[in-house]
Amino acid sequence: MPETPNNPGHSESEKNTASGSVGNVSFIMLLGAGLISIRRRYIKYYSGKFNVFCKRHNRWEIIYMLDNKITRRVFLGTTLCVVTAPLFATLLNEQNNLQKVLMDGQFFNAAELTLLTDVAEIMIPKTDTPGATDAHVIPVLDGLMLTWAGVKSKRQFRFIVAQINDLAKSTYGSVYNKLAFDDRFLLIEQLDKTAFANKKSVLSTHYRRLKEMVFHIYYTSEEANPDFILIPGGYRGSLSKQELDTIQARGYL
Amino acid sequence: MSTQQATQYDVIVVGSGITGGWAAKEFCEKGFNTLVIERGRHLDHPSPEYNDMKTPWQLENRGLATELYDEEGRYRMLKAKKKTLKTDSIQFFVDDKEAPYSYPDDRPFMWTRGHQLGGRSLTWGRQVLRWGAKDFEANAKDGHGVPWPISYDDLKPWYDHVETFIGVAGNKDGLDVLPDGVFQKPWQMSCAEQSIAKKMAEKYTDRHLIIGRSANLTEPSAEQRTLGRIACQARSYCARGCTLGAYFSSLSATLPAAKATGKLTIVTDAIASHVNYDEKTGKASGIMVVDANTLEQRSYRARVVFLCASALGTVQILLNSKSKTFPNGIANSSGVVGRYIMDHFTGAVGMGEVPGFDDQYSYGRRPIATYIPNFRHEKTGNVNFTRGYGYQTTAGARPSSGNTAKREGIGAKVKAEANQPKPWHFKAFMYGEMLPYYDNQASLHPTKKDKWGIPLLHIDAQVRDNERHMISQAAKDIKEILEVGGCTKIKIIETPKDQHITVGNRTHEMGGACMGADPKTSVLNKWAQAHDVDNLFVTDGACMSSCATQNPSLTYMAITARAADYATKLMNQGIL
Repeated sequence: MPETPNNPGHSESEKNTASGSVGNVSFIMLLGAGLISIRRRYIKYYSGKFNVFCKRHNRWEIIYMLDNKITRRVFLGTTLCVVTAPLFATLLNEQNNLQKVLMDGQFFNAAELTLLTDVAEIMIPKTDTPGATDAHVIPVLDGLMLTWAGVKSKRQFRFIVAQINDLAKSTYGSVYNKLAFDDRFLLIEQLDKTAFANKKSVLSTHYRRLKEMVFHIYYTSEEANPDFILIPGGYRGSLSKQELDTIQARGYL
Repeated sequence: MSTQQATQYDVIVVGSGITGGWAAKEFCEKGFNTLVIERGRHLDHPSPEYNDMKTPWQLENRGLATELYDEEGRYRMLKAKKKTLKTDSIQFFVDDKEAPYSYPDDRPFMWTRGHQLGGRSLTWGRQVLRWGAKDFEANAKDGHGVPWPISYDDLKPWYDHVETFIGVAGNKDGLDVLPDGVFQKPWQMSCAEQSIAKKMAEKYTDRHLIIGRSANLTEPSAEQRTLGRIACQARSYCARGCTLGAYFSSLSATLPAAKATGKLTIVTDAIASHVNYDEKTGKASGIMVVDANTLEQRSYRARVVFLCASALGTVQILLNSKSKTFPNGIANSSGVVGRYIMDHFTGAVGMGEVPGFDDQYSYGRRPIATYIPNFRHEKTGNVNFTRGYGYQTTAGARPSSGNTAKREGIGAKVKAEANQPKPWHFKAFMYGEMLPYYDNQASLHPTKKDKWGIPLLHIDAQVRDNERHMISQAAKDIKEILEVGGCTKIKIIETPKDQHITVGNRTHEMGGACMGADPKTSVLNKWAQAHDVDNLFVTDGACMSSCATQNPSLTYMAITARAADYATKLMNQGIL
């Protein structure tokens, strides 16, 4: 019997590999020549590869990443996008599984917030733990643009939104927020790879800066730190896992 | 135009940090009306400025200081030191743009300051290590600097006195080079640290890994509880200020103790410009201050003046205190004021995994590191340097894989791999003893002044060949120690000989008004009393004649308490 999200076994080709995390996220895969869109499916990680449950084939399949669709022009290009405005309430666009932000924020406009919210969730998706959206990463970022960001950062963060849109247009012929989830994921996934492969480009610099802030905000959030204890009450330096878990559950030494 | 305050105090203490607080406590408790002058703002304890009760998500800007500081060129030296400016404690550090100082372009000096009531005692490292007999003998023995006029035995009862009051968690290790003191229950070593310590003990007789000695309470005394201080809760947010008063600061301990006597007056936002000198009596008559906000000048009078403004702050005041008798600064007939500036330095870092403890974990955030005391007081083997070094070390918490965004990868896989436990990891940072060089000097800038009209301090100090040789040997030594300790994947980082080492980086700046027996070669006598001016004492880091390898604050405090005791005796006898 093949495994399903409700019956998490392994397909024939994977039965001897160790199981990784399983989550309920949106994802895509590229099989052969065609793109197959899978929304709100389970994914898991086996031996260095992402696997997604394909309903059509009723089996787990490895995700292959798109490599060559983002043009060099877009990566080297620079487009200035100046927008101002304040935020927040969202509506799920079921056509492309995009959480559309309906109001402007304090710094970013609604379209920018929509894009950023989606990108942050792709970077840090909800799995069995909260994702970037749960941790309010982009609303916090929007506020930080006024209280933390200097002129250069403000420009950078605006710029990266415009650049991602340019990237979407040159790759798929549409602005980012109108793309299917599969395309959006591949776009950001490829952008991440390229940004670290060529750190000298302007796009790389801006993207990595955005990624750093998304990670920083997420990993300093309450949602990402459920075990954080402000007042440990003491220190122990040699505990078994069971002893540690007991103390953590108690919340005090 | 200046005004003179009507009140004549018994004692003026300039500075409210770790030594100023001690001077105030000792004088007040002995019945003397004492004025503490602090250049920074007033803070209460506990203060609304403390951030120790905030979670990571409650810190302003998620802990990131505004980038406007970068754009406006503010806090540049602090950023060079800490890499990232953070909102948890930046309020306790000085912006060098607002309070500038000077250094040669090719030899930047790092001067980390805290201008608030309590000074740097709010943010200090809390590692309190006694100096040993050999440390006080070093200058006389090898001829560098000015021989110390005091020995360990002179300070021993004052170390006891200070430790009893501040509260020190430490283990009685029985080491001559690091004498034991009055200790509360020590912090635990982790399983990894215990393993290394045991293996070192099997191999060496002179090299020891011990738990640090920390000014964090583990068994608060009745006196400490009376001051509102309770046991440390292992949060390790000390630099944010401690609402619980669990670590020692002048704000939580010495100043409240002084205040309780009814003899203490505190004036904040008052920048000591110079010591007033009375040509007729040959004594200091008081202190001239500039109001930090209004720029108004005021003078305060007292029978005795204690300078506790931090090593370099005190040097600046001394040099700026010019008179007919002392055209080059008060108490400077020797010309030594500003000379022999020192700091600890690093330059050799060792690290490695500690295998065999993958099923062990830590809990809590221990507020102190472990320590390998100096084992190179004597020149042995083929070493080509004088003095030695210790290592500040730690494997107190099992590291995690972290959650960095600085690597390729996004999505569920990256998230799943974040913050996972990694093997125990031990790190050791060399802390070397810099020799007291006459040419390492702080002086007044000939033309530049700050916004309060005080000449900038120009600091020109550098490490030299002796320190470079130490770094080379320290790198070899720590590699061997890590191997003996059973570490794997050992990595040694040694600062290249041509790379600048910024003096001041360890925030242990010392010297500038050294103690010594000879008035021709030193500024202060064995009581930290100016040779030239009987009622002027300097008991902060400026008084140090050498810097040893241990963290110096405990020694400053002991010297201060001893000097205050001596001064009160002279005052009671009517000599001062």
